[in-house]
Amino acid sequence: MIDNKVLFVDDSPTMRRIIKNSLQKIGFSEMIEAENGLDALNKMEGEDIGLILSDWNMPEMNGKQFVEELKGNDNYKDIPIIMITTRGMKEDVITAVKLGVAGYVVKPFTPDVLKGKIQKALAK
Amino acid sequence: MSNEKPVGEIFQKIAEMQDFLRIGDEVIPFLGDLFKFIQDVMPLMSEIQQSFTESSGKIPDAAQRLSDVTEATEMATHEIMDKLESINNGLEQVATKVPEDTKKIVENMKNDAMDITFALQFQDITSQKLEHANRILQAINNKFTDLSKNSELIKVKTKVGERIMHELHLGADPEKTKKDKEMFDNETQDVIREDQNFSQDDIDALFD
Repeated sequence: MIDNKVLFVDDSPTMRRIIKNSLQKIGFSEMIEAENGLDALNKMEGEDIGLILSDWNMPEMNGKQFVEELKGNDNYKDIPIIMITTRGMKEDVITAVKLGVAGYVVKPFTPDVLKGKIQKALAK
Repeated sequence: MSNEKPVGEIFQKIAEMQDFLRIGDEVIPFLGDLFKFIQDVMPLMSEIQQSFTESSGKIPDAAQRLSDVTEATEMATHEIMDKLESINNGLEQVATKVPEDTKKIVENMKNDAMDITFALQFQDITSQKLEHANRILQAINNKFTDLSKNSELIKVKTKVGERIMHELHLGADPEKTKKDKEMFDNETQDVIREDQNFSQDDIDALFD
């Protein structure tokens, strides 16, 4: 079991379920799921989050805006964030790196890829 | 001598007028050709306008279909996931009751089930592609709407515009327009049965 509480954010119910399955398999027991950045910010209040997985393309507040909000907040700025997205363009990845994300996974991904990125992000 | 200059100027003016009339002689046939061209083009313009109207009318429907596809694939994907989770739970129980050498086979089956779950990411990926196509359709629809509004403005703002729009309508061949519309409707007709109005029972009843 991994002690960190993980928050995953994706507007697709299918993706949320897949991510949840893989996180369980990796060993996470405490998980919070959200549909978009705004929903995530609301659900994060009062929670001790150790890792965030976020999609990029989402309604209300997209992944980029969400990461910007987190990095501008002293309470959340040090939480490792992994982007999980269909956006695989070089400039997208560079934008994410500049924003300070700890990892970037392009869909479709395998359980091993996700596990590797999570281990790397938590080790930083 | 004092009269020479004005006379010279008069001759110059006459020469200029002759040049102008010569240009007029050359321009008038061109203008005639231009008007003939516009006249010929009117039916085509009319057809284009009609096509815009018909095509843009179908766009909201097409957009809705794309959204329906996303919804349907999402539902189907979750049904598959339910089954996979059920299989996985069953395999976990089996694993406790089989000899050690068989456990490896059960473990491989569980991994296969997990691989299938991950392969279902295609649903999200295709949904995003459909959503992108949907946004393009909406943008085209907005352009069509703008074009239509602009043509209305021409009508309202100038008499020439009003006349041209009137000619456009006159230029349309009603028979051809009707045939084109029928063809367009046939080509864009939804051939997938929507079961809200006519169920399988209704169909079966026709064969009884």
